[in-house]
Amino acid sequence: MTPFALGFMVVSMASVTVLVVYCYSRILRDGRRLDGEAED
Amino acid sequence: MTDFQPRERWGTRIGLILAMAGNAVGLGNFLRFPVQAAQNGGGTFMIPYFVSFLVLGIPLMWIEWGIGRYGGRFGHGTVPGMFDALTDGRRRWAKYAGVLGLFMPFVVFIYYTYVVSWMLGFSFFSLTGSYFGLDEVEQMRVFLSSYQSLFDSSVHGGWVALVFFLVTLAFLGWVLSRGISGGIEKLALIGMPILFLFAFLLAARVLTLPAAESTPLAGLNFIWNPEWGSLAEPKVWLAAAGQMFFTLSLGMGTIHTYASYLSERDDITLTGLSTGATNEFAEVVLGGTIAIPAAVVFFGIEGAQDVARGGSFDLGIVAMGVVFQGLPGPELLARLTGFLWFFLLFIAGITSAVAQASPAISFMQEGFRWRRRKAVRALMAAALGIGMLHVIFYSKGFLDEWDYWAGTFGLVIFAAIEIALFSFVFGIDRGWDELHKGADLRIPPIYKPIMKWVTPAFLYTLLIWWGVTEAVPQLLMEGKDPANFGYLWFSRAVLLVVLGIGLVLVREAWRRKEGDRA
Repeated sequence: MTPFALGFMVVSMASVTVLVVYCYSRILRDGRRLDGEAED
Repeated sequence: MTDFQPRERWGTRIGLILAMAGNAVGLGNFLRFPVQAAQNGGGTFMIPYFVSFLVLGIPLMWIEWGIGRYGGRFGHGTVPGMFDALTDGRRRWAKYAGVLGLFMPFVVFIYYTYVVSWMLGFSFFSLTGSYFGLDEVEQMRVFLSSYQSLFDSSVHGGWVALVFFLVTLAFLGWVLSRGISGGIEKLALIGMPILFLFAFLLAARVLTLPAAESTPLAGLNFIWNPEWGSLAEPKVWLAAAGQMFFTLSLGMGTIHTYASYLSERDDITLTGLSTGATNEFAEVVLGGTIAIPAAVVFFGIEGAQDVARGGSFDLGIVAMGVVFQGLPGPELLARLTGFLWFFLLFIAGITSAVAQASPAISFMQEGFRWRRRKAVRALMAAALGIGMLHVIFYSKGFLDEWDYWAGTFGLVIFAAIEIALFSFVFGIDRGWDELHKGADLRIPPIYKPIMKWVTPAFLYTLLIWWGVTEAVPQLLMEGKDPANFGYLWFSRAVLLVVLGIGLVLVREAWRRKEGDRA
């Protein structure tokens, strides 16, 4: 695998992974539910 | 029965996110994306891809969430009513333009469900080992084409594809009749974790394959190796923009319907971004690591290029069918691996199909006050009746014609209309405020001019480009077998009839609504 290919793959995959982690960590941290969602 | 029913609601936020992600994650994530990347510059394809994600995909997705939630406040679960609400009821044509958001998901639902049923069929064939022994690409092609053709009994009886189509429709009908939170949300809560689990297992299996014609790393290199010259080619940028539509299910009307079941106190900015991110993860990390690298290992670079040129089904069914037979280890394990792949595609497909079915059901519930079960039964009957045309005429190009006009070009036309209504008729300032009601995430202010100018410019460029380079040749049937011209015209005529029925139903729904008000 060429270094450029590896670089593109790692950066691309890392970017979407960071975005997923950011979104879900914010949702979990805020702990906000939908309007009308039942409490456990 | 014409009883009034209160609007349904999503049960949980995670259920909503997974259902929306299920809508977005479909066959295209695992079959179309790696082929597009490999054919359009490898690693450098990701530059236009991410630019498209940022300036086209994400803004348009937020706009669709916003239009959907706004329309839902007025009791509209489908785009005709939403477009009417966006214009404050002052432009009569808006609801008729919105019929595209009803017509396209309905039409796509019919043929997509047929294709998804193939994945169920091949899941079954993997477990039973039906295609094991057909270890040449050409043999697998014959196996697939016999399955696809009602009149080719060389391998399967013509009824086999029909049985799996019926089973898939029955399952979808059962899920849909249980409602938004009891059916669609539960399907997503169960199906999406299974999908990701299967995808991780398959990616791990592919990456640990021993070298055959080539190695897994060479397969990854095939997808990601950059061709710098491709960045200067408009077609690469437009391919990336087009992929955004397919992967995020934009321009369809499905996001609108799902978002209509939200209250204005619910967040749509962070939730919307989360579904987009989940989809991207499934596509870029998992979608790019399974089919093409596996094909490169077994067929070498040139063989994989041939497979990629053959299209998604050659890659996903024919090539992967051969790959599973060549896996080292016991045959039972190879069959199970095949099952994981095809069932993964089946789950990806059905979670998208329930979204495609939802606008039509919601429209009949709200426009004609049908009960959900009645609307679902009518939809399934229509899907079976019209879907039979695909079963019978698949080999004549009937399905491809629908896929192009409703599932490809129509998406861009619809998106072009909705962004003009949102940014210029409803007004970007009002729209911006609407998106931020109940928001957990403040959208960066740069997105306001992007939504008003950059996204529409990108979209209209795509529309013109596709119009000139693809729609006109498609309309003129260039490259098609003249023997099939009659079938293709028939296919278009059926599409136009369905569109016409949609327009009549919208007019009738409004007539009833105005009658109720009077």
